[in-house]
Amino acid sequence: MGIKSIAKVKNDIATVKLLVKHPMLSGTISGGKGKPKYITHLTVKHGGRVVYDMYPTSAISKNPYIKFAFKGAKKGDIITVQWKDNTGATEKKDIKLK
Amino acid sequence: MKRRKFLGLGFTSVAAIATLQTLGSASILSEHPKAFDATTGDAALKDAYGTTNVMKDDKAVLKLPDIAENGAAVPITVSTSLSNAKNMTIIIDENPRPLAVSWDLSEGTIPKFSTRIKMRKTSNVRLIVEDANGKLHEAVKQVKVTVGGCGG
Repeated sequence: MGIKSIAKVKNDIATVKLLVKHPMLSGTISGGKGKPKYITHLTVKHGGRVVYDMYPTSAISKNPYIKFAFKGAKKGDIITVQWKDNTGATEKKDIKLK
Repeated sequence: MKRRKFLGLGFTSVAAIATLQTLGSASILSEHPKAFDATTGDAALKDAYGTTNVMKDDKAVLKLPDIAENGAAVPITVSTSLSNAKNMTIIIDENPRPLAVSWDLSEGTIPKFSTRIKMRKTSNVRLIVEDANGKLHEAVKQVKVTVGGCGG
């Protein structure tokens, strides 16, 4: 697990790129013998408000890449990335906007 | 006594329906989990939004390559020109489970997202955008896949 990020602010708009380490297994590998393991909900919060609300499935590629932008951000603000997968595993990370 | 119980029940269900309506399409996954298990694109659409009526216009914008060499990671960018859209969903018709990903949109978020998707084989990829009135807008693009990517 682990989340890599680039998060920059320009003119009030924050552009966030994330690379989330996760296998995103569908469970259909070699005739359905594998167990599914994929992220079902990923959110990014900025000051208590949800700025990104994603419901992925196993159709999102391994180690998901995510890019989005939101308004109303300042340099130095903290955003919180949080995900949950179908097995109940979770991860949370605070990222400082540059 | 029985009558009281009955009345009470009525009120709770009315309250429950009211809550659902104010939430609107919020969190398709928790309210319509069936949509994620649907095996055809139209069934996924029906389960998620309750209708398959879509408007093919320029409100939904889909950016995808024409040919994907590797179906395990196809770059995709979705966006909408609607400023108050509620939800965006990607449906890949030829995948075992066509509903690939769904986003709820909130104020302040610019409705333009990039990610990478898995495609089993050559398929139409659809972007569905739900506007503030619950109307659906659609963009469709066919992507040719040379190596499938749903074995993961």
